[in-house]
Amino acid sequence: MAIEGVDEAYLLPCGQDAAILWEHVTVGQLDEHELDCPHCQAASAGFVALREATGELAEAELAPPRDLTERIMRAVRTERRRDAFIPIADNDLGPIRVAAQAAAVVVRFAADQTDGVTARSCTVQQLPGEPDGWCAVRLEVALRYGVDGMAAVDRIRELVGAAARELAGFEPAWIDVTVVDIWPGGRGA
Amino acid sequence: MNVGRTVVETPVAEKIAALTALDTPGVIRLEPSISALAASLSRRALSGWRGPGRDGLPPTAGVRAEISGDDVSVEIALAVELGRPVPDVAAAAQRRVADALTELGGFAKAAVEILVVDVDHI
Repeated sequence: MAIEGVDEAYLLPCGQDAAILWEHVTVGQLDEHELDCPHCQAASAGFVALREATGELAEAELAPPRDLTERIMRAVRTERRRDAFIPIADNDLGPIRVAAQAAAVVVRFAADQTDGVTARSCTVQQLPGEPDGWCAVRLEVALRYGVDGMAAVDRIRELVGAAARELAGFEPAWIDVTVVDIWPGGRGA
Repeated sequence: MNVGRTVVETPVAEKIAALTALDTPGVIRLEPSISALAASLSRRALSGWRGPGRDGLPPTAGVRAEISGDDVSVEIALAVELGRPVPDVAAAAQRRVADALTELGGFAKAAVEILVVDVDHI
């Protein structure tokens, strides 16, 4: 995902940096946490398989595609997203689920459409015990100096609610908005 | 005369599903997991590398199919274009893939699970 701040680093769910784990796998020296942690174990198994596969490529004298590294790192990054899915439909063909982090991208996109508002971080979470697709939304925003904060937050809730239902396919049970910063810009900016 | 058996193998079902999903407006790419990516890079998939895959990867990375008798079930992990309605794009992909598997693949029944892993600019 190209939007800044959604995934600052290639972190695994346990917090370990995937690039560091990759280095440790490469030299064959996992640390204590990595040996014990199921997330690190799963990722390192994937890395080992990738190394073997790319080794086979080298033997076959085929140059790996230029953007292979990018695809691998994207897979590492989106691996985190596979931990939490929101069920948004289940018809006669099968279920449709959207990663909670992908739903959060839609929410941030909607909040950014509000004049004088920049979305910072966002989480969307399926509420346990509630019907499928009923979610809690937590959003952090920064406002431009001079913007009427309460009116902006009302507008954010309106846009985020509509985007959640129409663009992402989930029902926001509530939308918590926290203003975490003000940036200078003036009323006319 | 006995005409014989017609068999559609799992990789073929996966390829039909992948190409059909990618052809759905609003679907911008498939999203293989690390293990799926590793699997698709294996020697068996190497033949696909010289094919028309957009970035040289086998086009089925991100799709998993299981065949059971005359039925098939597939799981497709994909990314949807930012600004498009995810439920509509996903439902369209699901319907098109199911139709393609029954019409092109000859399966009696197709179950299709869609996982939207990312929403992104094109």
